[in-house]
Amino acid sequence: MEDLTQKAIETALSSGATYADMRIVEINSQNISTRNGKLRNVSLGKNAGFGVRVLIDGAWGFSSNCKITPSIIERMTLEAVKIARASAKLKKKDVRLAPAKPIRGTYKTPLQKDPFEVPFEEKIEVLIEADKRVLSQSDLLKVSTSSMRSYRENKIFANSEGSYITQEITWCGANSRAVAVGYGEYQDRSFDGRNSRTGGYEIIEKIDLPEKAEESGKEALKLLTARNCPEGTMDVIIGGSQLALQVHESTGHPMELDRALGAEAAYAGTSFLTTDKMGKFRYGSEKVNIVADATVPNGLGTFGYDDEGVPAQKVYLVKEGIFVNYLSDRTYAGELGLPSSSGAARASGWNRIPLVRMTNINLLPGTWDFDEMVEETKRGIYVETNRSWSIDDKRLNFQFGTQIAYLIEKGEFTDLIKNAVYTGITPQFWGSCDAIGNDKHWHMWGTPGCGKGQPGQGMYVGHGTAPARFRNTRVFSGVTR
Amino acid sequence: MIRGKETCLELASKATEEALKLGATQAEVRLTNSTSYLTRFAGSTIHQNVGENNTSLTLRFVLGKRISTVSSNDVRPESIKGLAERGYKIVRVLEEDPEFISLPEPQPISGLEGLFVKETAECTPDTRAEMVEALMDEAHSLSPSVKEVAGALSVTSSELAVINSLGVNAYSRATSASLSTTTISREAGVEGFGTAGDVSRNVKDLDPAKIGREAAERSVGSLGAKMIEVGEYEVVFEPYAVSSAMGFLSSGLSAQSYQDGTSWMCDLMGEKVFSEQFTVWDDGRDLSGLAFPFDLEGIPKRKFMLIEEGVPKAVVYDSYTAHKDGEKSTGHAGVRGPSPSHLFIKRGDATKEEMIEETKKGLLVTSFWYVRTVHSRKLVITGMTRDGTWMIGDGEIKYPVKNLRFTDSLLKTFVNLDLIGKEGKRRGGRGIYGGMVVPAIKAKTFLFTGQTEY
Repeated sequence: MEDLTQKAIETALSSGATYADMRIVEINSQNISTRNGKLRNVSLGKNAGFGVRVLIDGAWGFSSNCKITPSIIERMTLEAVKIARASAKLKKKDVRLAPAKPIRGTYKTPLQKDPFEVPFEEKIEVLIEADKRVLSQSDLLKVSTSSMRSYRENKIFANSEGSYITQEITWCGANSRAVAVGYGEYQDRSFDGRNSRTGGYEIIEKIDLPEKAEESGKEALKLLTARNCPEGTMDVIIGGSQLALQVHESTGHPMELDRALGAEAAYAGTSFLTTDKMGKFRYGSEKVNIVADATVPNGLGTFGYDDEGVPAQKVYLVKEGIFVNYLSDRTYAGELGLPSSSGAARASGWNRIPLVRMTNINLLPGTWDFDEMVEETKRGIYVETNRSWSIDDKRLNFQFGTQIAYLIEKGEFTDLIKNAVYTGITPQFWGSCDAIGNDKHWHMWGTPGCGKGQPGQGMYVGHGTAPARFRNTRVFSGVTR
Repeated sequence: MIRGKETCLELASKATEEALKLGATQAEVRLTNSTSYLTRFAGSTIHQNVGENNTSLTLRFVLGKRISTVSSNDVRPESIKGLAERGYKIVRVLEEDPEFISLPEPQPISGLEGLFVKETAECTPDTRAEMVEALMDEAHSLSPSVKEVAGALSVTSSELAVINSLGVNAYSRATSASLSTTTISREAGVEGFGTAGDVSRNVKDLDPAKIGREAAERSVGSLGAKMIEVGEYEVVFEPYAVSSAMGFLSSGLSAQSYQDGTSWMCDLMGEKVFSEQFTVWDDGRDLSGLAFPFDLEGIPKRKFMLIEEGVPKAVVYDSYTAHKDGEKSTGHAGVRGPSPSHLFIKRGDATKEEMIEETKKGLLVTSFWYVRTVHSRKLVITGMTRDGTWMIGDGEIKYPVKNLRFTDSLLKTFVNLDLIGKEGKRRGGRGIYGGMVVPAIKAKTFLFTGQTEY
C-alpha cells in the first residue's frame, strides 16, 4: 500500500502542497439485536476507501473516494489541491502545524478472542437468554431488547514528513433494555452502550449480559411504583456510568481546542473555556483531577497513534481543580502556539478529516469507599444510568435525566425514585465535588458514537470514572412539570 | 460522480441475482451513489473544505422467514458476489422471525421532475468560496459589531436504486444544497448570536447575502442579553425551532414506536388532543418540500394525513411493521424502521409580527439546541434556546435574553397552540431524501426551567 500513499503525497507536493497526508481505511462492523426473545436484526457492514488532505497556500483541502486505485488516487489528490486553493482565497492567516516527529510504526488492539470469529449462534443465544430473563419476570415487562456490536478499523496513515503507520483497532460491547408498562406508568431501564471497550469478545463475556438484563427488568418493574423525584437542592451521588457521560459532556467537549478557537461555532458550539483561562481557571474542586489518556488498557478511546500520526499520550486536562490543558491536534496546537499536539486528531472514517476529539477522558479515582460516601450524606439522592442529556453550546448549563435513583436520608438509601433529573452550571458543579470513589470503584466506560463536525462524524471515546458526590445540586422530576 | 440509471439498476440486480443463486427466497438491494462537497467556515475564514465520493450496497437476504442484512461500498463484481455469500452465511444460522411476511410487492412509481439540478451537481470549489464570501461580506457590512461568521455550504448529488426479487425496480437521482450560518457579534464585553439558513435542490436558489444579513441582524439584536425569571411564558417559535420540535413529535408517528409502546400516540390515537388548528401530513411528492418519489424499499410516496384538526389519525409504516398490523406500507421505510420523511404543518394566517403583537408577556425563540427526550410516552423534552432569544412585552420585542433551558411536554405545546404562521420554511435534515416545511407558531405556554450565562 505504501506505493499508493506515496503516489498521493508526490502528486500533492508536485502540485504545490507544503504538507499532505493520506489515510486508507477499512471498517468492518457487526450488529446483532433481539427483541422479546426473537432475533430482530443481524447486519454486517464493510466500508473502505481513502482520503487525501493537502495544505496549500496555508489552507486545507480534502477529497476522498471509496475506490482505491492509482488513477482515482491521483484524481482525488488533484481535487483536494483545487479545493485547498479555493479555501486559500478567504484565508486570514496561514495554517501552521505544530511539529510532530515522523514515525514508522504499527499498533494492534490487544485481544484474547476475536469477536468476528465467534459464531453468530453463540452470540444470538446470549441475547435471547437476556430477553427471556427479563420477560419471564412479569407480564408488566412488555419489551426487552438486547444487542451486541463488534467493530474493527484497519487503517494506514502516511504523510509528507515521512510517517507511515498501520493500525488495527477492535472494540465490542453489548446492551440490554427492559420496558415496563403498568399502573398508568411507563419506565425503562437499561444496561447501556457505555459498556463498549477496545479488546476482544472477552469484553462481552465479562459483562454477563443475561444477568445484567435480569437486574434491569427487576428495576424497571420496581420503578413503576416508585415515587417521583423530589424537587430541591441537595447532595447528589452520581454512579459511574452516568458520571462518564457528565465527564464527556461537561469536561471532554469544552476542552477541545478547536471548539475554544471557534471552529465549531455554527454547529457543535464553542467553549466557556476560552484560551485565556488555560493554566489558571478553577474548573473544579481540588479533588478533581482529569486526564486525557489514549494509552489506558481497554479504553474505547485507546489507540497507538492518532489520525495525524501523533503517538497516543496521557495529558492532564484538570489538575487539582485547575484547567491546565486542551485536547488538540496539529492545526489548532499550532494556532495557539503550543509546543505539540496532544494526540487527539481522530477521523471517523476514510471520508472524513481528523477533528480534535476525545480519547479516554478519565476522572482519576479519589480516596472514598462508596458505602462511606453514602453514610456521610445527610440528605440527597444517588442517580444512575442516563436517560436524557442536554447541555448548552458553550458547555455551561447542563441537565441530565437518569433512569433510576434512590433517596439518601441520614446516610442510608431509603426510597426508590423515578424520573430524577439534575441540572447545573459546569464550573460550579465540578467545584462542588467533595468526594470521589477510590480505585476499587473505578471503571472504564465508553461512548461509542460521539457526534461532531460537518459532515457529521461519530467517534468512539472512553471515560474512566468512579462514583462521586456533588454538594448542593438542583434536582427535580422530569415528568411532573 | 453520477453513474446513471442503467448502471445503478444493473449493479443492484447483480447483487439480487447472486443472492437468488445462493438460494435466497427473496432478496432486496439498495444502492446509493453520491458525491458531496462541504465548505465550512468559522472566524470569517474557510477552515474545512472537503469532498466525498461513495457508492454503497445494502442487501437483505431472505431465506423463508430468516433475514440478514449486509452492506459494502465495494461494487466490483467479485465483491458483490462476496456480499451475497456473507448474507447467506449469516442467514443460515438465524432463527425464523414469525413476524416477517414478505418484502413489499412493486407499486407503480411516477417520476418527479426537477429533483436533479445541474448547477448544484457542478458547483465548483471556487463558486462555493464566492458564495461563502458573499455571505460573510454581507454579515460584516451590517455592523462593525459583527466579529465572527461561521457556517457551512454543502452540495450533494446522489442516486438511489432499490430492487427486490418481487419486482420492485426503483431509481431516482437528486441534488441538494444547503447554506447555514451562525454569526457572533461583540460589543463592550458582551456577545450576541444569530443564525439563518436555507436548503434547496438548486444551489442557485440559495441567497448568501440574505442569509448573512438575517443572521447578522439577529446577532446584533441579541447583544446585551439579560437574565430573566424562569417559568411559564407565551412563546413565538421561529420555523428553525419548530422543525426541531417536529422532529421529536414525528418519532412517535412511526409504527415501530407505536408497536413498541414507546410512542406518545399509544395513549392518544383518534382522540381530540391538540388545537383544532394543528394539522400535519407527510407528502413526498410535494415539490415545495424536498420531494422524493419513493422510500428505501422502493414504495411510492403519497400524501398521508397524520394529525387532522388536532386529532392524531395514523402512524407511518414500512413493509415489516405494516404486515404486523395487517396494513400496507405507507412508503416510509427508513434506515432504522419507518419514519415520516416529508412533514408539512398546515399554515395559518398570522405573520410573525402579528404573533408578537398578540403576545402580552412572552419570548421569541429562534432555534433549539441539544434537545433530548426526557419521557418518550409523554413527549417531555429538554433543550436550550440558541442564536437569538428575546423578551416580548405588550406586543413588542423588549430586549434580548440569555439562552434558556426548557423542560416541557410537546403535547402540551401543541394543545396550547395559539397562532400559526402563514409562511412555510423548507428545512433539510434527511440528505436528498426529505425534509419538512414548517411555519412559525405561537404557543400560549411553554415551561423554561433554567438559564445559562450568555
